[in-house]
Amino acid sequence: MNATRDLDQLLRDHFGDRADQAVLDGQLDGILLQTADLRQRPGWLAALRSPSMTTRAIAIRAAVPRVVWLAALVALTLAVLLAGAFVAGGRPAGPPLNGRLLIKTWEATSSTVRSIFYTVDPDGSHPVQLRPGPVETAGRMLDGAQWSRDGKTILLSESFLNADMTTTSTVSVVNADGGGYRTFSMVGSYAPLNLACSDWSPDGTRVLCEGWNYPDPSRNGLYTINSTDGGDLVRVTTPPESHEVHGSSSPTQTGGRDIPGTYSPDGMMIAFVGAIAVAPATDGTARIERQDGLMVVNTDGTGRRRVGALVIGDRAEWSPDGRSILVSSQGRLYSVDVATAAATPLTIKDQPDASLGLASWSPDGARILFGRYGGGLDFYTMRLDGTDLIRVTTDAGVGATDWGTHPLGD
Amino acid sequence: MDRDLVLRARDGDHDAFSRLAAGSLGRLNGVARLIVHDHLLAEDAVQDALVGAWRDLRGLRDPDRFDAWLNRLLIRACQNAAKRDWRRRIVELPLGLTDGPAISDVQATLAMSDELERGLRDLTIDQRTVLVLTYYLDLPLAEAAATLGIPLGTMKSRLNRAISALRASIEADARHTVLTSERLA
Repeated sequence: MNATRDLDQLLRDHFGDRADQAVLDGQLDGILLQTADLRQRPGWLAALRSPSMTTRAIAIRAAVPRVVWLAALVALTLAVLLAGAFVAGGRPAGPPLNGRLLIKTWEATSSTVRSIFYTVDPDGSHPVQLRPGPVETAGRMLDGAQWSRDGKTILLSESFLNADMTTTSTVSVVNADGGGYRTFSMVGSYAPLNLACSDWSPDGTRVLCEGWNYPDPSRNGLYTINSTDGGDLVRVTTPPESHEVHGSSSPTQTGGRDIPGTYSPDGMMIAFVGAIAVAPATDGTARIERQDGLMVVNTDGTGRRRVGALVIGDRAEWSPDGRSILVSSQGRLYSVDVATAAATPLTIKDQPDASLGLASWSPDGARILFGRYGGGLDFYTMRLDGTDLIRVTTDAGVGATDWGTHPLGD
Repeated sequence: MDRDLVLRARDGDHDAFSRLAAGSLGRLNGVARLIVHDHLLAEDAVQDALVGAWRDLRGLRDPDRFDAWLNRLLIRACQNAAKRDWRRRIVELPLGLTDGPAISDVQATLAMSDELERGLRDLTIDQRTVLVLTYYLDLPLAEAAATLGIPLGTMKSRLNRAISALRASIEADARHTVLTSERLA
């Protein structure tokens, strides 16, 4: 090297020439999928954590190719008679069938990201797209889907951010074959209260939702609506106020949130992710709230209590036998006993350190459906002891899921 | 950086965050690849940084500092990724210079670039990080120090040590090459 050259300039030129800013195929989609189902930490907690980020993303280099998004799904013709009127999700007779799965994937363009919901057998075969075409939006905030108990109908819940920063919520149902799509006409009448709905009641007559209204957080909480047209809005919970503490300054109210999970199998209780109030700090600073606790409440709103001490993600699904609730916490899955609050880890037997999330019970309670993060997101099923791992999606990078009782195949 | 997007993302608008992520991804990839010198590790680091950005965005009090804050998350993620690295490293053998005393300007430039690249590869990740912040992102020393969360004086000494280490690596490589050429002669 010529000693008279300026090393500083050489380094600048070198870095400029060698810097590779190429974006990998599917790289952005994988990140957006992973974040789409993650809640942001409350401000006070994020401020504490932010200087020393400690994510637990684990690079699992399984023998799989890089994530490539599905651009489209093949729609199959089904020979299913439509009921005509909306069919309530009543509990089917006989032992539960481990039927078809409900999966969400993403289709991304340079300016929009849109969801595509589809059903599929547990081995990944026979995919059926739910709707005639994906809803295109530039301002999607939330969406989710859930099977009815009888496996005939699917609840869809979507919220969109409008150009004027207001939010529009829609709750709709569609038949398992993708037909019969209709919206709950009453949901819009509750504006500016928005609804994001997560579960049918076991008898199929009600739907469990989160209500929120950012300018007025006093209306935040869990609600139920009827499953006919979304009418008969009933409030179930009022979360504690949430405060952010900025150093020693006065707190600012931001509004607590209760995020709905599912009904208990007997329809008497609801599992949800809720805000937890703690005692005021001894030094006189303002009360600090924590979100992210596993909570249960009676359907009439009484008996709100925390179950266990885990800080959990956005899902809380009651087991088919009514004894435990399936949650994720910091990349791990747990079955939490409702009576004792004991949390049993659920891991892949041969990959105990794998980062897992987005889990659902099988209808018979013997298996779980879950997502595994590792250079992307794919879905698997396994027994509760971590054995019999079956891959459902391949290079698909997907989102919210549910396991229903709809018969297998097309 | 669109301040409005940052504010909306901080309030939970995932679509706004997706636009921020899309706009930052190339830059983050470039920085991460220069620091960790491994495309797979860099991909992990960028993913960790952006996932962490979404989760902790409410801790960002000044939305105008989003890019700097994101840089800081990325640096942390690069350091963590390097620690987790389990892949068998491909050992690149040092290349000899082209034979013959007369080389063109293009060849000289390429040779110099290769020397720098080999020298950078021999540095620790912390040393490469300070060089990337200073000479690729062109951050003033104070901002680079803030990105790393270290005092300005510490930043200066780390930079000096990184440059000294780079010079030493290049000079050692040059001596090896000369010796090799002499043996071949």
